[in-house]
Amino acid sequence: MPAGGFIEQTLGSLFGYRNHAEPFEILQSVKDTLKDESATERLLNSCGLPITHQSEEELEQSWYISAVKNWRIWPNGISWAAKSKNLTK
Amino acid sequence: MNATTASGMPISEALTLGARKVVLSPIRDALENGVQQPSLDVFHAVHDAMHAHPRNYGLAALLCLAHVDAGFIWLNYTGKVQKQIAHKTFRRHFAMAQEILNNYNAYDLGSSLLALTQCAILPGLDDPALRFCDDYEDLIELDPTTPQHFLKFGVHLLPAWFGSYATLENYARKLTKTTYDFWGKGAYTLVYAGAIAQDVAACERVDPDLFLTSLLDVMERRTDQHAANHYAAFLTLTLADAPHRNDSRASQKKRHKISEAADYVIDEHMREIHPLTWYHTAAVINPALQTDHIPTQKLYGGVIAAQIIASRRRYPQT
Repeated sequence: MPAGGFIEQTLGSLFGYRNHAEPFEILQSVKDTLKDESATERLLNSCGLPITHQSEEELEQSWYISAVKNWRIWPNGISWAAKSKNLTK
Repeated sequence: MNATTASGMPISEALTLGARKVVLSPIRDALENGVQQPSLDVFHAVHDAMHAHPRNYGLAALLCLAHVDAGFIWLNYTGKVQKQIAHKTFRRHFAMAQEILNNYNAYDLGSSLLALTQCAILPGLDDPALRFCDDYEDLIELDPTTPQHFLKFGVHLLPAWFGSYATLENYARKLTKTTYDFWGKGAYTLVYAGAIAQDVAACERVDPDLFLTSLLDVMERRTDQHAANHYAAFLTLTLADAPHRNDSRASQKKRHKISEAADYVIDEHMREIHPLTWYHTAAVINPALQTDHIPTQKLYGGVIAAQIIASRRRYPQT
């Protein structure tokens, strides 16, 4: 059950409140969504915004690469200090 | 105002990327093939060039950043090389970078490139906590209009790096005053956005009302589509609920309150989808999506953005 609790989620959906766990559910199902090509195409067309691939986006990856790979706190929560410590063992 | 790319990267830093790639590729290739002593010929060539042109601080900064990159490459390949060797080499690269940088004064030269290089070297120093706030304040004073500096400062202000949540809050507020002429109250959002993207527990101390006011100031000043996509992804994905998030109820409420601004960013500012921005935000939250294949990253990012936008439009706007 996503954070927020069953009652809150159910009441939320009844009264039109935002389901704050929905984005994570979308992330979890993205691979399944992509399996259905026509549905994917419909989705991309229906959102009303064009997809662009600016060269700056590629460039921007250097920031993201450093953020995601080098600067991140590792997913299991190991901090930089802990990681450095492990390496010296 | 210093020049940046449309997505906010300082042009001076962007200009170093190609050369850094050339310097680093022999190291990367060697480590991937299990060779523990990669050729440093290109590194030596750049060192020689720097000695031949000692006043060229751009070349010195390039070399320092290449050393930083090389240090991180060694650290990230620890699975294939001995941990101790990797860590010592990481340290050596950062020490070398600091030694080179000590010959230049960013402030006297008016160079934000040198100042950002100093900030990049921090993770390899023995006690970065003693100096990192001063280094970032120097950088922001030299180049107050580049948002990336604020984001990176936010990351380093986290307790997992060199700071604490209290220091994060203090500096976010302090910068709001010192950079008011450029960002209004925007510095608060810029600093916290960097921090929260790495550690959602930083929401515990955030002032949601100030964050929202500050976000408006940022969006008024950054009208480009990269910013719109970046903050839309931040508000909808980074601040969303997820099973692995066990922050306090108070923190959750703050997250939810701030994330309501996503409608404003999407409706008022988003005119196009930048898939990679969405992908990189999503891959941090759901590591199962991580891939090095850029076309797949774009596909994931595009579909995620489209679904998020479509899902938000299902709800009545309040």
